[in-house]
Amino acid sequence: MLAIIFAMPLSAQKAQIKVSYGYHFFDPRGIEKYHDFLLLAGRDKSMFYNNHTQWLDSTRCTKGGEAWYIQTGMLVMGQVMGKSREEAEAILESSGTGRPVGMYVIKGNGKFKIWDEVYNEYRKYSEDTEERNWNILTDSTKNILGYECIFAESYYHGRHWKAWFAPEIPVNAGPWKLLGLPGLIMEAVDSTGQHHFTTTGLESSDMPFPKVYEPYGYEKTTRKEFLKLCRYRYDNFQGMRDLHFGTNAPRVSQEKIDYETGKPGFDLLETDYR
Amino acid sequence: MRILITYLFCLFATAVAVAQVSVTGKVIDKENNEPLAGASVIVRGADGKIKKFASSKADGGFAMSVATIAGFRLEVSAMRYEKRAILLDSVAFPLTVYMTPGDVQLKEVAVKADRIRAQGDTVTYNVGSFAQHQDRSIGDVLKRMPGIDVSNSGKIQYRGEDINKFYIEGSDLLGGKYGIATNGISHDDVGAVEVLENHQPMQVLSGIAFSDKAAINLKLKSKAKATWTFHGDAGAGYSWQPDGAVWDGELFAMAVMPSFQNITTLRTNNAGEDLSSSNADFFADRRQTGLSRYVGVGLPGVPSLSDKRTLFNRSFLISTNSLWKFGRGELKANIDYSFNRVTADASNITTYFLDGGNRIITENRSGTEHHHSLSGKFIYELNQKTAFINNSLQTNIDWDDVSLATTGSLPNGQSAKLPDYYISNKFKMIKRFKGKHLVTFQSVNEWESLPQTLNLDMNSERFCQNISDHAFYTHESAAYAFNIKGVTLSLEGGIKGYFRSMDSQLPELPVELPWLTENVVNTNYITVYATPKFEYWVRRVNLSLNLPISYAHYNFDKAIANRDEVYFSPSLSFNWKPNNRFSGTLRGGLGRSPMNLNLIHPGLIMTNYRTLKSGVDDFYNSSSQNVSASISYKHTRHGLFANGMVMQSWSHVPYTMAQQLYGDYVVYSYADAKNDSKMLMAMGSIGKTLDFMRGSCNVNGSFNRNESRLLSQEQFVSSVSTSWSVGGKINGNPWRWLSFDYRMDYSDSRLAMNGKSESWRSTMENELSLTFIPHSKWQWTVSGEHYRNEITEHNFKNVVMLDTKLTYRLSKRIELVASLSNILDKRSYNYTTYSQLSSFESQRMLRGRQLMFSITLRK
Repeated sequence: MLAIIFAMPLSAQKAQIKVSYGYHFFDPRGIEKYHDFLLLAGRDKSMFYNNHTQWLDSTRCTKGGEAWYIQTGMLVMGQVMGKSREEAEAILESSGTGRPVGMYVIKGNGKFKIWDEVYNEYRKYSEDTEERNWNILTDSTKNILGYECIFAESYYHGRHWKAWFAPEIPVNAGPWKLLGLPGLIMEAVDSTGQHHFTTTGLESSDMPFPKVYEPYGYEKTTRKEFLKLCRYRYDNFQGMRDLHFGTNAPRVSQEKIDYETGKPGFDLLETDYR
Repeated sequence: MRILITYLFCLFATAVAVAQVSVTGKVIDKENNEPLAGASVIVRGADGKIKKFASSKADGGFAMSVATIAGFRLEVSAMRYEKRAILLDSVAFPLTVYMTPGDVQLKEVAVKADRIRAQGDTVTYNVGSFAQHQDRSIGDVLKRMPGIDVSNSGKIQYRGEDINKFYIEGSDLLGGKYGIATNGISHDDVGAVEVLENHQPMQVLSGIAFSDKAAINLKLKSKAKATWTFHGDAGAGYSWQPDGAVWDGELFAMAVMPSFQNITTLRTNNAGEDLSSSNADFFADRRQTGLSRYVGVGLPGVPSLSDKRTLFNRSFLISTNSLWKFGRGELKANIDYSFNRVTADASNITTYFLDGGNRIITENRSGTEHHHSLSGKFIYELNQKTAFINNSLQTNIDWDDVSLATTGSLPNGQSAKLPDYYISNKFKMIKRFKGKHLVTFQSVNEWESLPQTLNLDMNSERFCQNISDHAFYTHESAAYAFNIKGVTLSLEGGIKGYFRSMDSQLPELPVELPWLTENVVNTNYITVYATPKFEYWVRRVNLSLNLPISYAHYNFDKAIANRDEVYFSPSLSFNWKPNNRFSGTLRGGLGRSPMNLNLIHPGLIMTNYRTLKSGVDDFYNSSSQNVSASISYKHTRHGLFANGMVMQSWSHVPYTMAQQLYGDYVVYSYADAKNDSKMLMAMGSIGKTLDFMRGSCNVNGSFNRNESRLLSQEQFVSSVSTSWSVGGKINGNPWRWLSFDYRMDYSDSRLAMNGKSESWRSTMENELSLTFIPHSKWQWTVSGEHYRNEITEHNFKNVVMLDTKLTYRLSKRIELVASLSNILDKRSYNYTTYSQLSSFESQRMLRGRQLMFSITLRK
């Protein structure tokens, strides 16, 4: 028994497989967008995150890195001033100081640990991985990156997910919080088509799981509270500004509020928070 | 009764439950006898289908229940262990499954970013995923990106439309001379190419004035930012034709800093590479001074072979471009000097088709052309949300001279001096008030002088055609626009003044020509104009209506009668972009325009030893109408880009060009005539990424039909020319050791005169390049072209050209290259072309075999 306890952390430190995912989604305004993600998976631990975000956060947690960030940030702020949101996002992203993806998901010991952000409010929470009730349709298969993948479907936190997994890759992991199939989930799309993950690359790996650095003060919360906050940001943009900046936040125009609210029909990855 | 049913149901359910088989067990690592957690455990039926599955717990345990286990098997697998399969028919539970460590090979696919992705109106191409081993510059890689076209001159199109800006890290350093960047920047320094769709370069107009053009932005890798990068090539060798030494060298330096950018390049070669396209300005507006050369002594070109086979050159180019950002504005300076010496030798036989029998003129020509060009452009620009200011001061000085010696039916020597001096200043200011009101002021002043001298030595007679031609153009305008809820109304008003004087002398006229040969002409005009514009732009729809109206007073200083004219040229365009993938545009316009004022000269002007031109004796206006439709579609995730365009235009010109022969001289003149022409043009292109071999492909096609009428020897000729073409290209890297490029172009054309059709004439060109990479340090390229030209009906001329190149990478910084081009040493090419009124047969020299050794260095 002791042997198990000592052996476990050793094997848990390294990933066995490194998978890149493309995440295509529709933003609140109905514009198709794209983010890159990386999944590191071992037998009992996995981590889903954005490589650039992890690099930026780790850099900022060094002394020289923070100085660089502030210096570059000032320059970029000058360029971004007065630009449209899309242009500003593009400039930020290209400067290296942008952080379009804020989410980290770590799975281990039957729990997810999540770090996330909404409107510069940083939160972390944990939740049970939960048993999934996947319905496998063995006859429905699809070839993804040379792997024969089997179709499965399941409800998870308010959305109906369709997934394709590769039994040849015996890893119980997938993009975001999707898991629970006897093989790596290589593609997953929700029934509305708003959220779509696809594998873009796959390598075996000896990489140690990187640490999640916290250059921001992360406030602890629960899953539902965090999701409610995310919704609040779209439903009451002025309220979100007040929450973030304090009640003296300058009023924004109705035009801006309408723009931030987006189109009806948009919802988060999880919809069971109401 | 109900109780009984419930009881029976319970009994039945229990019976079913009893029939379940519990598949339980433990997964153990055979090597250390320890439990294996996280292993995948699958129960498969006799049909191989998954019946149940589980994951082993921390203690290695698993438990599942299935209805039956007859013919079933259990599969246990885990990363880095060999897979186990156990038939369940004759085993006892709980099972103990021992797993042997083993290396299970994954079919790996490199973890990297998508090749193409879309974010809003920005399409990003990952350069690394399109570059092939043999590529050098970013231009080589741009050609492989679906949706992007790079013409031979280096001009870039996106979805069939010219781009409107070329940025490096968001800064417009080079303006329209972006060929310097596409030919110079190493693809290895560029991380991504961004296409900004519907790009409005003036921020002050964003959201008000719609743009259907796209811009390109190069995103450099971090290693190329905030530092100087250099690379250089030096090559020398021997050529069999022209017989002698050849060289090819390049130095390229680039700095991309937050507040300073510079690109400086120096290139020289005599190996057949034309450098003039490298510093061509693709965004240059047409010069409003409107001068064009009368003297036309040119070297013969070969239309159907690539330049590198036919160009006998000595070329040199230096270009330095700097950009400084200060405050909110930026200052740019672009200075170029280029020198080009081209020689050409040709034997030509020209046949004029005349009713009284054909007339044949033979000539052997040997010529040299020198072209020096110095240009400077200095720009200040402030580009903000509320204000835009741009002042561009530009000067161009060209010194061209051509000498051409001809032997044959009309032995002669021609030499022409053709300098060109041009200077312009363009100022534009736009201010936006309260987000809705725009005020624009513009001032353009241009001056150009285009003196021309043609010396002709023929039959021991000497002729000298002298022309002095200069013009000044000024244009001042003001505009006001306001925008309410997507509707923009604007009114622009201004005045244009144009003052040109031309005089020409040809003191000794050939005796055959009974004409005046002196011209003293002033062609001046003053125009006042107003352009109301209506633009509706809401969500995905844009409608724009332009109604320019102008009044012009022309003063010709007695050469012909003065004129007063009113011009009205409305145009309408409609764009619909229902989503990020699809876009459709309809355009239409009609109008009247004045003739080219260069045609006004009462006396003859000699343009070359055989041709003279006489001007019009009246002022003419032409009118035209055009409609066009274009559509484009893209699906970035599938790497699919498609676009198509169809255009029909009509033009009505009240004069037509006539050709008369006087002895050995051809005199072109203009005569009153109703000259109507009609043109139909259609083209389309589809590009797709081929991810399985890191490649891409493209198919394109076009169709053209021209109907026109021409007066020759006092007879009308109506002609219809029809042509179509298809082309395709594909490239890829199917195996680690091989990459390839293949291109095919086929075109067919036909001319019908007065209802009599000539046969179709086709040309076909195939180009294949194979690069073998036997080792990471070695690279061997074999490439070749095949041309198949139909000279007369069913009579084809085939030409095959072969090249090879061997590259050795000494280190990351140093590369050694040996290349042998035109291995088969083909030294001549003969061809015949036909125009409406003549045929032209040419015998030309090709560049012979050439061996070159070069070294490439990079920092």
